[in-house]
Amino acid sequence: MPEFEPSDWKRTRIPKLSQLDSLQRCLICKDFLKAPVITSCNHTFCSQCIRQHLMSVSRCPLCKAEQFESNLKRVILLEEIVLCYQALRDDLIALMTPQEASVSENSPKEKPSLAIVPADVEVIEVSDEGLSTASKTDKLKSGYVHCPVCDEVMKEEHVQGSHLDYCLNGKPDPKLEKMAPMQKRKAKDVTLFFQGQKRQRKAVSDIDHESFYFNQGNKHHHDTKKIPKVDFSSLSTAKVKEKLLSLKLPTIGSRAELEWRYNLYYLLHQSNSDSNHPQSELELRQKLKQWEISHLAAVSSAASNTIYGDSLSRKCISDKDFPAKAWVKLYKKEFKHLRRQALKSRIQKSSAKDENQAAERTDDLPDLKEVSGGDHLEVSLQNCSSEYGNNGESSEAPEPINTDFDFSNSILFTPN
Amino acid sequence: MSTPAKRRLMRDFKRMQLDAPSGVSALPVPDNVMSWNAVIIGPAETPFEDGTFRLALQFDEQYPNKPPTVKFLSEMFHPNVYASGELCLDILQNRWSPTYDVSSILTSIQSLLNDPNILSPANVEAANLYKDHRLQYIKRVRETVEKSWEEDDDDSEEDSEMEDDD
Repeated sequence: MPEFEPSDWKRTRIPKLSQLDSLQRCLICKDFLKAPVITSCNHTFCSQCIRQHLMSVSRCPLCKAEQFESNLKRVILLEEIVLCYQALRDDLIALMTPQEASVSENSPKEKPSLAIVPADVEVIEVSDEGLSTASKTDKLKSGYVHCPVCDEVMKEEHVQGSHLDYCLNGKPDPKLEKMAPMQKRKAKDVTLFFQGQKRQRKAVSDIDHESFYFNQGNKHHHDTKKIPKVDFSSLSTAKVKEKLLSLKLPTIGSRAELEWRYNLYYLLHQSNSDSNHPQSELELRQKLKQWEISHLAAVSSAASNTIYGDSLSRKCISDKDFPAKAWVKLYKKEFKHLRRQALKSRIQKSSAKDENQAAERTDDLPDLKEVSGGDHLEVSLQNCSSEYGNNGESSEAPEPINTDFDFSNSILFTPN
Repeated sequence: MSTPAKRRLMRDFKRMQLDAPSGVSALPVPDNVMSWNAVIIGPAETPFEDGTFRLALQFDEQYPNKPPTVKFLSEMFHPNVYASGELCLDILQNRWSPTYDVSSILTSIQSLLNDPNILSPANVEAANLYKDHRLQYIKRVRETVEKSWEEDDDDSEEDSEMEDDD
């Protein structure tokens, strides 16, 4: 059974296990804690997540107490607990799920649908030499799409079904494994980033966590050499390149790219050394390369917006001339679906009595045929204060909503 | 291609599917995981009741370390919403935390609707009416609620007759 959310436990005989599941996740990435570290305010995050956060804000994301990277401490036991739990989770859920629930889960109408991976997404080809990238549009047979996470090509229904769950958890999808080699993407194209992760997970899942923690204390501390944090303002570009070379990193790109690359590698390296089971430097460099390629792809697609400015879907919503009306029209179908879904979610969370009322409201929306034709999105709100971001302390993000609604009744994305 | 931002957005997407908060929904646009559309239904027992308010959210590779840009596409009459549809909401600016996700952003906006912060208004007229002429304020808000239904209505009309533009 694919694992994903703490709410997976809601269908089981012990729904409260969703709390145990939640508590082993990082609040920043929402994934299981990887190389967990504890702050001086005693909150725990993935090393990489919190280090990246502290690069821009020196506060704990949870309690806002002042925080510095140098105070972070590894939590060796917790890392083993989380790895152990992750390895057992699928079997536990399967054992604890009542028969009927797992049957209804397979009914087609409840399959989540995912309309976000069209056949012509950009595919980046990784050349063997290094970071030179070429993007091309890969036309696929209709009905086939790229998974947005691992980039494998497969039938759309399959991504929407179980594949995404496997994929986001870095596990091999048994169905893909069975596919003919013809249908599999060439290894060259598959993201090394992900392969690395899968490989590592597999190795880690073979570990006897109990023995590692109690009997192998000598392996808990590895003396990886520290990479110094660099103040780039005092360095010439030649010096920056020298530093990159000493770490066996590429030295191509603009000055900003060089600095970005160094900082990213610093981050990966630091968080890797917080793990009980660190990856090799080679794997880290591959990870960095993949990250960089994705980043470049994002930048180049942003640049292509200016060339193909007519592509509305790539317009930035913060632009002054963002065409809100045209946008709503372009995504008319999506908004219609979203509206239906939002109304449904309200029905599900209210009592049966309210359900009837809300259903009436959905069916009998006011009959307003005279659409004025005027641009009602651009009227009269002229008196805006120019101060932006000067806020009081009024609104806090609400606690995540903890609902106990019956999962088997939940209505997932059912287009039309 | 996977990046931390995209992985996180796929988690947010899953969470919205499996456990969406009441009266809100959101979905990435078909060809770009970084760009989402959302709908918030005006909460019951408020002037915004039953309005269908459309929003767009734009994420970048820094998410969740940086908040997304969020914009109302539907016309709003609210002390903390600019004419452009942009919001003045602390958690989307200086009080952002990487622990927030799509679900918590939308529920925050939903609760902002009936709980405006009139100390730093983005729409001074709305703030003044809210303070001093509540009935007038409610009337103006109801007008936007009805306009939001016209957009729904547009949908159903265009489904049957496509050439109904202009």
